[in-house]
Amino acid sequence: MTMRKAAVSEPRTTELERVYREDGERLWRSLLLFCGDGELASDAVAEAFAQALHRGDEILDVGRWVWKSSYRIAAGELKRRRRTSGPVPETGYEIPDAPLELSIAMRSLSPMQRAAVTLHDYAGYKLREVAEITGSTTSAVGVHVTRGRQKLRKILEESADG
Amino acid sequence: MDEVKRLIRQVDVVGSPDLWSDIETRRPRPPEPGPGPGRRVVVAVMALLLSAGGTWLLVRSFGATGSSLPPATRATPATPHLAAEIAMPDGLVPSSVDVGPDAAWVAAYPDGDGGGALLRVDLGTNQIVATIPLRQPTLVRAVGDTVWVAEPGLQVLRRVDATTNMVVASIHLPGNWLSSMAADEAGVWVLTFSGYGERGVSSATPRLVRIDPATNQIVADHRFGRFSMNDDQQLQIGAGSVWILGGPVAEGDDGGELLQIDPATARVVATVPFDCFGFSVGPRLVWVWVPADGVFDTEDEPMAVRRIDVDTFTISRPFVPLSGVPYNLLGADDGGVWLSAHEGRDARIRPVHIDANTLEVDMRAPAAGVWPGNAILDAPTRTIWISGEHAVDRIDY
Repeated sequence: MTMRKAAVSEPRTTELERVYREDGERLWRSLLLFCGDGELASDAVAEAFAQALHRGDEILDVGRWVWKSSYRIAAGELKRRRRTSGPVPETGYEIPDAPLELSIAMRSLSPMQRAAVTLHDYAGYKLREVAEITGSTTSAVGVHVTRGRQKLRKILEESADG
Repeated sequence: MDEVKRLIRQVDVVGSPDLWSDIETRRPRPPEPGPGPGRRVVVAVMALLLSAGGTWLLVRSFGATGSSLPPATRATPATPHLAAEIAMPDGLVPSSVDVGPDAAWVAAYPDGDGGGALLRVDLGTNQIVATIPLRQPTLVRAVGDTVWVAEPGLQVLRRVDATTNMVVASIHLPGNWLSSMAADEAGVWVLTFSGYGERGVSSATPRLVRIDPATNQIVADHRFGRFSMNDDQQLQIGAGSVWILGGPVAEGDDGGELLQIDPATARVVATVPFDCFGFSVGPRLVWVWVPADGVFDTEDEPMAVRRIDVDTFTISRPFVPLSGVPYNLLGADDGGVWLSAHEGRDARIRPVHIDANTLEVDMRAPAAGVWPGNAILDAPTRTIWISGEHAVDRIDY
């Protein structure tokens, strides 16, 4: 056992690993849908769980906390990139190994629509939970989900028409 | 599974990395440091400048004091109790509640692709007695026989006649996001933003719009410079003025300066000279929610409350009503202010009342709703309405 591991209470480490094993994949893919960048998704997930490990018993609901933290970390990095790279950063959005239509469709959404649709329709969170994760309001999230789905549906229809 | 979900689920073919060993060995990044003492100096300098009337914004100044107030007159408080749990119809999520003379009104948003509704709740029976279909209602304000309902996604304000439960007018608003609304007999005020959602909240441009209820026409459209959109309590009416939580006091701050606006002219007449993160307006006091140490630079920053006497323009020192417990300002009555507190390990809200004079807890209400859900206070009926996932809870006190 290393000195680092000895500094963290065993039960919390075990609990966190269990949360990661149960939900980490879904969280990572959800972040990938949100930011279109696998490395950023990995960094956000790892950083959120590492911070949770470091905080130990301060966190009451670990599952909820890591979702909120990882989204904030990813959103913060995207915001930083927009500030430094200027407008139209979405050309960098890409989901490798998935059908191209997914990247094309998700790229058409605004960041807030992507977050709302991903958390609601992929991760299965209710509107209020999405609002808590993203730091928004239930009403705003509801509109982003509706508008985001309308845009995606339109893209699917146009693509079906050829 | 619908086609949108089928599209999104295609991400499941992407293999995800195993990050656990990275997680175990990674040194977590420290929280982003705030500007530190330098920002306190800037805030203090701004306060001095503002109190000296040295800026174009300020007509009146606020000064700090610890003096107490004359005792408020109100009825002996009854024990707060859960009076009703009002279930929402299937597929509807409660977004906003307001109380009129004989009914509570719930703006309920669709959880999915269906339509929303404005729901009328009888105050005597707590039953939903009318359902007015609307597409995307999210904000509601009830004044006398009129109910105003905002649909931000459509940028429309609807007027509903409370005697017939019919939509009698639709007013299209400027901007592309209507974020908050306040109303009294004299008019309806709306805070609307342009450019919201395109690059994020902070780049949107705010406008304060007033609608004359006699004509349903927009009679004022005022811009205050650039500040971020906040929640649906960013605009409030009370204590004889309109109040808006605006932009930060200094570059890099996260809160907003509280603006007092003359409703007759729509001009700013005073500014609270420090960063606020929320506020509640009562009959003669304004309560603001601020970082306990004056600077918001850590994620779990301890928060404090300050009381502002609008008649004398005096501000109390910060006080921390609840230690180690997350809370927000819920609403002000003539005896003090209610807080939404998140005590305990469940996801419920526990309202707590702070006495205006002693600044101590003098009432506690039972758990209701879901943290950090929407909660409003209706002082005339002494009721608190808290939105849960599929119900609205009513607390009487």
